[in-house]
Amino acid sequence: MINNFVQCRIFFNSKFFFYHLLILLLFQNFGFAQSTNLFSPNNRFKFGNYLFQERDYLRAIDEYKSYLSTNKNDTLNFKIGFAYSRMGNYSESERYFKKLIGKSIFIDESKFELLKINYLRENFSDLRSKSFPSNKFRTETLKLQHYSYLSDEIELPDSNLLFSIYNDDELIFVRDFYNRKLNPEYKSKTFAAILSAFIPGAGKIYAGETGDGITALILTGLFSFLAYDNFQADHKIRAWIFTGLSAFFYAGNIYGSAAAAQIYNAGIKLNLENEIQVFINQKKYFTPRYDFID
Amino acid sequence: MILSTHLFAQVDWEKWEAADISYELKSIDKKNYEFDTGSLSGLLMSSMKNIYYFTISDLDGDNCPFHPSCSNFYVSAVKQTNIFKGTLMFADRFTRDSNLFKSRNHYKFYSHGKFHDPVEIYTLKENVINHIPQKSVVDD
Amino acid sequence: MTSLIKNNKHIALIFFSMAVLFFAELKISAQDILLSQKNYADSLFDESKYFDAITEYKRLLFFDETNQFEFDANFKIGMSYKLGAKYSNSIKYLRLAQRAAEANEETFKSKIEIVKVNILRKTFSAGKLLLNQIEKDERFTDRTDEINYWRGWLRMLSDDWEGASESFAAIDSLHPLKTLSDNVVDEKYSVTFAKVISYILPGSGQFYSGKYLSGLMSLGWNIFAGYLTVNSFLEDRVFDGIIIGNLLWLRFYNGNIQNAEKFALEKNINISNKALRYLKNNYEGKKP
Repeated sequence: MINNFVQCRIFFNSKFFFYHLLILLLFQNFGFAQSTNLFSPNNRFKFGNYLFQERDYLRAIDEYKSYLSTNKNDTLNFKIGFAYSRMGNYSESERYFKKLIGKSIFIDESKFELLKINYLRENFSDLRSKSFPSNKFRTETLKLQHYSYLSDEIELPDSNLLFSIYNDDELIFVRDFYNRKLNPEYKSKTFAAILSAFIPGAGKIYAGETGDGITALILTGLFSFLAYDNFQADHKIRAWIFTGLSAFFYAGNIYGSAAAAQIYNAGIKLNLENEIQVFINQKKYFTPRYDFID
Repeated sequence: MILSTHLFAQVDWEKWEAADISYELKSIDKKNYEFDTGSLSGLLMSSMKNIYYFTISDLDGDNCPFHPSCSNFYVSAVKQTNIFKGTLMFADRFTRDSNLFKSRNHYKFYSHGKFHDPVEIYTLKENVINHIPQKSVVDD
Repeated sequence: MTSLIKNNKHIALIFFSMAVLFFAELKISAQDILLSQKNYADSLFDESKYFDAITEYKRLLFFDETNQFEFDANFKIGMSYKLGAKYSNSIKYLRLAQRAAEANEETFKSKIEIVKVNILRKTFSAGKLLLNQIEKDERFTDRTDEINYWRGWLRMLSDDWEGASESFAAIDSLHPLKTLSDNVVDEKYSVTFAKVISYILPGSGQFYSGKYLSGLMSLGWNIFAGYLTVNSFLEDRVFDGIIIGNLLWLRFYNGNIQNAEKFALEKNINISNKALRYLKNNYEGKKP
């Protein structure tokens, strides 16, 4: 015991102790400076995480990139790709995810994110052509791939293929979209025009423009009557002017009925497309929960 | 179709600079007395339109509830299609203008109060209608 | 043994002083580092690099564990967004600054800044509401002049020059902005007068605001259409009379009144804009 103390004493009394102390102090100071430099890699990492969580992606990316210039971290590379994708910068996003495929633990996540970008870029056939047998997000991938049929312009596949993968809540929407896309309630342009050729305005009413249809009937009728009346009274010039006006509105209405039907159809189509888009947006493109994000 | 991908779009997702902030009031829209020198028919049409503006349209008040106005509609319709089709489109527009039942429940409208009624959608061309404003007030 | 204890005391003393030194230095250095971060952000702000300034203020806020810069940083972020014309974000951060404000001065400063953002954003009613609220606040009873000054600005930018004149007069009857507002009021055309004279004599409203050609043509159309209408009735062509009267005469008569109003308004907007341009480019005092 005493021996120990003596040893200690010798140690503390030696010059060596003071050197040691000096080094210790310097070292501590150095360490401290590291931890309080706001721009040290670690602090940039922490600040970046805060910005990312606040969805301040552009600033977060800056911090992450600075950290990555001296360190390696695949989580950050993934988060940068994710942030670019969220901001709509798909080419940068793809660059990051592609780097992660093959040499990181985020292979599956990156592959899924790349698929999502295919969807966002409307490269639907590319999206569906990929298959990943070992993908741990198999369900999510299939959901996204099958859903893309609804957004695509091509012929719809068999409903069994499409419906089998979704859960009950999703199926309500998917089934509705599928049926509406398969049998859209379109109006025929030709039929609208023919209707209006027989009864002015009828085609417009058929295409859902009741007010315009009645107006067309009144205008054509009124000018025809005035033309007839003036012919009867032998006011030739006036009669021909009214005949011209009547023909003008009659022809315009036939044309307009076809146009109205086309606009009606476009409305049906675009509304459906919009609903399809809104739903997948709400579902966040069937993205699985990544536990290292949020 | 890409309309909701930027749903969470933030101000800071793109780097911005200091803005030049104006105090001034918005001036009243003026008629566009431009001449279309691209083609003879264009020149003829725009001249006729300008004469119409100067002698009639500028003096008889604001009667057209649509944007673009009926005269502008006619000029662009002819430009986008041909004189025959453009005239048919104009007759149809005139019918819509005469419709007493038209209302804001039916048409989308601009913040300055005019109904949204663009020319392209009446051209009967395939796939030109690729956008319908989602809200009833259309941005200018 | 005693020497050992003494020595132990000695060691303890060294360690104690080391610890004190260390923590003192830590505290001072942390303070210094945050302060220099604030200066760095301020310098970016002064160089008009507002986007980057926001990043650095956010960094300051993030590492400022004692929240000593909470007001300053949030306020400056709000100001940066304002100068980039990102008004909703600006108001969001100014509200955070207001919440972090400790002194009355800071509360006042952030509230007035929110008013200014509302003025620039042209959401005048929100600005007005906030100004009234500040005016009623007992803490700010001695700040009436500033409140009136910004109320004046709000009124100028919302094209209420008479109101603006009143507000500036409340500060000083010779206030330069009062004179400016009065000048604008004097220069402006009366829209009502233009309309009334156009009811009586078509075209005269346009003459009043200097649009002579348009006035003459309006008068011409009205005489022509009026003649046709009256003539039809005189010749007992009642149907023609009604049609021409409605579709032609009434149309140009209404158009004439609309034009009288439009031209007077146009002139007035130009007069207002001239004054507003002066305020933006040449006025030396405080601006929103």
